[in-house]
Amino acid sequence: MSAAFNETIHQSTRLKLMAALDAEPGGGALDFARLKAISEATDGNLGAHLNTLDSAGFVVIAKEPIGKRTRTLVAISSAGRAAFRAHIAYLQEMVDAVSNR
Amino acid sequence: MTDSDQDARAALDMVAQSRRRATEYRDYAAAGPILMAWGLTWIAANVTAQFAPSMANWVWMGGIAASVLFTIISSPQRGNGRIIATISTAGAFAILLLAMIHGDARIQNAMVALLVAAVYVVVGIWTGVRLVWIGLAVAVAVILGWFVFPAWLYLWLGIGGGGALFLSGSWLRKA
Repeated sequence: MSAAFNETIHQSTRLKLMAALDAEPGGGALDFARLKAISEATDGNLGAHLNTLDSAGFVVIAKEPIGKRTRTLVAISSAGRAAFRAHIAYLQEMVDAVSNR
Repeated sequence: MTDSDQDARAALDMVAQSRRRATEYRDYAAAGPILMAWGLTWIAANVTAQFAPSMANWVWMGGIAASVLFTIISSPQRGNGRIIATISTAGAFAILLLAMIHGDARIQNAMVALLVAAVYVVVGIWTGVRLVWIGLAVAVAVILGWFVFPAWLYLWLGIGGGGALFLSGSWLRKA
């Protein structure tokens, strides 16, 4: 895998969201409440970051009706997983480069 | 671009922490129904022991068998040798304890309940702090029942201990 810095993913809340989604076995979806707990973001902040990731094609957002309410489910896309892992590889290379000096 | 290797290291730490939290929440959600099943067993068996003692052993056996089966089927940690070893050790200890202090069903019941509470605390230390709080809540319920409501011990163990497990399971399921 080629290492590549990704400006969209590197923002701290989005990095947390992508890490949590990437850790989900089988590319499963996480709901809004779980992502909020993991990222410790406010509702508005989380919604804005998810929209940014959605616009970049890194996540897939689905709305599931539950009675009168709607449950928001978010899953990482294959493009998102590739970009996230390339970004992690980039960060790891930076750390390793200093460690090996 | 990142400014420095410290920035990169901090980002990697954040990623690791988010992964840990995601795993922890996933395990909580999976553990919730298991705790609810055990809570229902405790409630049913202890309430039966309070009001129809002759039937209590049958309810215990049926409830434990169903709960063990449900735990094995739905446990997210079933592949974790450390967790299996901890629970197996506690189970073996409980069986030996029951064999050695046979004759007083109240002591047996309270001891096993305290042992279960201790197992939750120990498993919680390794997997997630919420289980520690649940173990402590169950222990407090058992101790209160023993010292404050001795005449209603079974009912207290059922409603207090079993109820604590059931509510805790409901809390975890929504994590």
